[in-house]
Amino acid sequence: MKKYLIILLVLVFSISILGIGVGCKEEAAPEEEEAVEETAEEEAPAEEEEEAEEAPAEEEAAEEVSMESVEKLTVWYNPDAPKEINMLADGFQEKTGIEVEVVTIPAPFPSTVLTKWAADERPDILNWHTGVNRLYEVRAEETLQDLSDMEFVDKTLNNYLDATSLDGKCYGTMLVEPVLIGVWYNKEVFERAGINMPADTPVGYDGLLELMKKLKDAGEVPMYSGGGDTWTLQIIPILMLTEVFNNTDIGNELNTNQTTYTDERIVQAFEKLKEIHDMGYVNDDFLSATFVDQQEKLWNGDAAMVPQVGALGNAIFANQEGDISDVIGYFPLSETGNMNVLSFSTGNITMYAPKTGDPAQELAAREFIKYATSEGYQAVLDSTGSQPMLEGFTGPADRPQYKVEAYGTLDDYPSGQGWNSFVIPSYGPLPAYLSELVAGTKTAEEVGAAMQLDHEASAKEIGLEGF
Amino acid sequence: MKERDYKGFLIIPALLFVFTFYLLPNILNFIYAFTDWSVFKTEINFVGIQNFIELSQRGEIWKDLLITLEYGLLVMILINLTNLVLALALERTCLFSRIMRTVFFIPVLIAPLAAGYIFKGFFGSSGIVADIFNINLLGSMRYALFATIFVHIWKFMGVGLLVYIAGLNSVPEDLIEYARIEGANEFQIIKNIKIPLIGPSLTFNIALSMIGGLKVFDTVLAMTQGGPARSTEVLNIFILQNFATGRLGYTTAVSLILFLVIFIIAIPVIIFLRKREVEL
Repeated sequence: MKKYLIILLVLVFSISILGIGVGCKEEAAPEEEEAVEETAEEEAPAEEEEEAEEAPAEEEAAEEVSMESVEKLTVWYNPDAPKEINMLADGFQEKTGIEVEVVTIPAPFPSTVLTKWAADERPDILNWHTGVNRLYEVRAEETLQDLSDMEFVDKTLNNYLDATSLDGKCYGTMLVEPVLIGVWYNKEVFERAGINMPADTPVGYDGLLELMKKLKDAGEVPMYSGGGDTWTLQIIPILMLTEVFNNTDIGNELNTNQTTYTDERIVQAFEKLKEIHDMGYVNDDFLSATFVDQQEKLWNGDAAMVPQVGALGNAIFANQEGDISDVIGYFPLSETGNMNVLSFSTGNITMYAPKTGDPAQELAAREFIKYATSEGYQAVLDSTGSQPMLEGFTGPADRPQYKVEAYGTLDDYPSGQGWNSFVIPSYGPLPAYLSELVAGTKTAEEVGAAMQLDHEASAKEIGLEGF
Repeated sequence: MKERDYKGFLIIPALLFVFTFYLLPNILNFIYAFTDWSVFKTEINFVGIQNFIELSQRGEIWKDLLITLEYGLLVMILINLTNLVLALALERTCLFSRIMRTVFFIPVLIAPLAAGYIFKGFFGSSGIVADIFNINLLGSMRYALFATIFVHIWKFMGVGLLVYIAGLNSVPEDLIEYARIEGANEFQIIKNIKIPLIGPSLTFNIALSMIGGLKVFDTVLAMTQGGPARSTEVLNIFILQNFATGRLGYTTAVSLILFLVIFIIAIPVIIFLRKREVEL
């Protein structure tokens, strides 16, 4: 009996190991194919002209692939992103007969997706963040289809496609206008303190300090800080870093190790966040107050301003009846002026088409994106109330007034992308560092130094030159 | 083949299950901690103890380790003291005792995250505690950890309480009667008879509460997310934050440290308590 048991255990162990091995092999197969393709590409002449000649041949090959065998497309979706994806899924199914299953990835969305990504799991369509760092995170060149030849690319307005492009290739599309990051304020509180908007719109950080002093002297809480939700502490640094990252080459300097996060041009942003808290311009409970508290206090007039993303205005609008623009206003703010920060995220209904290794599925995924950016698009605009991101479509006529006012600032002031979309490596848990900063257990320089350590370690892992 | 030989083969599915879902993840946890596994890379390479060197150089983990130990220790002491007192009070089986046991057990059935969010409302800046005592527990770097410990104890004490009551009910009634006849008072009976005889319950409860405390995650996440200013940042919150940076090997090293800490503390405690158990 003992002998049998020993044989049994060895057998179980072997089968398990074998099972794992087979699983790995099956998953590795598409990678091997890609490796073969990559080798073939390397062997091919590198001249651009010849590469251009190869493109039509590839298109022809793609045309031979049929979607007939495709029964279902899977979409990985951020639970916080707009639900209009379901509208597109239904429309596409009606048109093609292909079912589109929208799988909501549980929070925390980014790390859950990245974990699946690391395990070589891929959907047909991925709702993923934008920005160069986020594209590096999913190894875009290797894992995502290049969508540069699709129709929506030429139709996309402004410079919006920069957010989903890397090294000149477009990997994704966005359907909803970018979110604005700036300062939301209570018009009634401003009026009480004798501040007339838009004439008294503060210019730069110095202007903000003056405004806050005036509000404090009038007995108001100038700014409501929500450090209990630590991510909210990032907003002031985002505002204070927008100019330097959009107007100089500092992002590239960080990516190539020519400068560090202890650079005075970066540290100043953290110092300003600290200064606002130290000068008593924020609520006393800033270490535990939350994003929801920010909405309530601003709406009730218990605080004059909240630096926040557009979600703040949207949340207040969703919880109140009618027009909120009588009470809530918005102005952009940056280090020395009023540059608007455009935030592109999963909330913009971003869509990428991962390489799944199945040509038919990949083709169907591109068809879905084509549908979403052509015949299915107007319904999305009508439902979300967004201005179009593509030429040839119209935004809704009855836009909420608070949105009209906020987005109207894009006509009056310059705009740029958030600082972190310029940086490739990750920079550690910044919200946690900032909570230590405002509590006084870390200095602004120490925040920069901590970020730098994470930045360097991450850059080495990515294999960036200069590290 | 004889009948008894067949029985051996019947355990194959169960063994496969155990190996794949219990043993393998733990083995991988050991292995990945020594690699550069990262979302940015396709390959996984062994890097020796590089992750551990970086962690110790950064220093942040030591602070979080101390917070975790403080949390685990306080939970273990407070939950067992409370449970012992309550178990002695509710030891007798009567209607009141049954109702109270149920009341104390109800929180066990509530999801830890839900419990965390409920108490976040009570202890937060606009909660009832702040209204009455004018103190924002969750905004205080001094008290926030104690607030989370309180919720942990409230949430999990029901299990230990039932174990203690079961232990106390197994103490022979005649022993207590003899002691009473000999003139022992209630305190002496508890100290010299009941406590020594519920040794196995003590071992079980102390070990389980300490391991539960050291592994805490959800209640802290719901109540403070490790704040204010990382004053309640236990190791599992540290893992969560670093996991989002995409450095999976580095983060797995932290989880291995947590595993080793629990192992190093729990095993000697269990051995010590087992030796002190009194056999009837």
